[in-house]
Amino acid sequence: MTDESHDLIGAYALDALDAAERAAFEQHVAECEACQVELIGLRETLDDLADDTAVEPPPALRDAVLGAVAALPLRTATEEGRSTADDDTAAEPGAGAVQSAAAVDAAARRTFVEHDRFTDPEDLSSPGVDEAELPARPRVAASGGADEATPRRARDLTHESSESDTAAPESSADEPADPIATVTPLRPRRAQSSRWALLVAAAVALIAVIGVSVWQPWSPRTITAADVLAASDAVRVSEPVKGGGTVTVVRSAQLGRAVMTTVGVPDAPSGKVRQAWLKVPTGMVSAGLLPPGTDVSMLLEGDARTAEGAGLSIEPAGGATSPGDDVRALFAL
Amino acid sequence: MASHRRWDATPFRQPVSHVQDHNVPVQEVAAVETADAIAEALRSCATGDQSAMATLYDLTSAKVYGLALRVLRNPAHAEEVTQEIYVEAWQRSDTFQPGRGSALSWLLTITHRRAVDRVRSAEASARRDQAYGADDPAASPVDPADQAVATIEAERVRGALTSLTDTQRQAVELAYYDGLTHREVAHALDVPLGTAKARIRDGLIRLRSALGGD
Repeated sequence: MTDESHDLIGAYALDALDAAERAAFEQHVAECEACQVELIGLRETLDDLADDTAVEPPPALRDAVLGAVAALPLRTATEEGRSTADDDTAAEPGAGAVQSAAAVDAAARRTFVEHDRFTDPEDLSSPGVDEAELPARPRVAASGGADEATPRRARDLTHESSESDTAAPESSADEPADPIATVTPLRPRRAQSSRWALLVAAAVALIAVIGVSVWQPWSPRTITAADVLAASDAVRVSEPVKGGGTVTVVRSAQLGRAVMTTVGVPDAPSGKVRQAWLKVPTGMVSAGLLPPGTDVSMLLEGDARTAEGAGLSIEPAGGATSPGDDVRALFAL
Repeated sequence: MASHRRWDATPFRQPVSHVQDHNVPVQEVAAVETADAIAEALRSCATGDQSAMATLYDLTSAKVYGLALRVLRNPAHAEEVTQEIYVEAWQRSDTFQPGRGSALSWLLTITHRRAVDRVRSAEASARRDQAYGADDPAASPVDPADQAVATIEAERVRGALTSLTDTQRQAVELAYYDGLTHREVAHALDVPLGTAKARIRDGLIRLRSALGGD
């Protein structure tokens, strides 16, 4: 994160940038883990600020809001997310076009859907669930969304034919004017073979943690810092650093990895290096050497699953096998 | 720190934000449970469950509406924008990623953006006049301070705000509550842009620290 970005992040969190600055900054944020982590913290502060301005709205507003939502044209939630690819799921809520990240994620998502007969992660998470247990899903309204939806559902070859929900897209196309069509629960998909079941089981476990957007089940890949930051079980701890700045560690127990991010932490003196540590039951293990810069982010080496703590110290160039005397941060996870 | 510390014996500092701390006050535990309930409601909205939208509304509407009202200073406008916010939340509920912040943050980000966009597209100059302290009787039929919630949480925030310098607090309030861009803040306070940026940033950092954040 450059110094300029660091200057702008506060104003960005307060929506105090003009349109051009905001768009440029959003592009930066999409690629900068340090900023993403910083933003999470700043927004928690704004969550608290909201306590000071909270006012109960008039009772009539509740009916107005719920009525407005109920009256919306029915669609599937995932389609809405996919069709507005510029407002990428990985970007800020309400973000403008973040082209590169959006295009990549949207493409990856479509690839995942096309390869896998299972059309929806939520179906994956409950294979074999009885039909009656599934929540009613809003179905696609005719013109706009139907073209995208129908081929997707028709591609589900694992599903027995002549079922109500393969008929449903056709009926919704036949009745374009009725936005409140009968909601038909989707039948759960079933694996066609044991090979599918094994792959899906592995996919389910990982998708549940890191989401669908940038993962394809066919090419195993290493976990990245972005995965850790986006993990559903991610837990963050931040601490001030001796000598200035703040360090944050984000850990996903399920992924077994952690990310360390610094904000405003001065570089090590010449001839020395900033070293990250994880405290595991057997003692302190090196988690890597931080790259230079006051605002950096690094995927920590090693298995963070059992880590009880993390630390940051100044060590001779090249690092040390155990922490020396100049410990700048040390805290529990 | 002692020069010959034994690592095994070193006690770890337990940060306030760590939810597994045994001494976490009751309000913090309750806050975590509410945060989970909000996230859960938002996730259910993504599956099309309208009762989850009702839950989401009940859990968050005071904060959402209240923020909109503070920015817009007009109850009718705040109601309209609040409706737009929840509609957007419903439509984009599947884009919420827990690793990117709390569900409440997600919702308040939408809230603040919509409120500020409305302020800027409509009576922008009237708003600026008001921020400077000039009288504009037509623009503000409501003084939000009259309706402010007198809760423990609100008191905590007001206490935290006192830890900012006057110029920092002013810069943060102009930017956040009055919807000014940082350039407009600099102009309003007659300071260089860099100064305005620094006040905003430092004010936020102080606020975060005072609220026991990360």
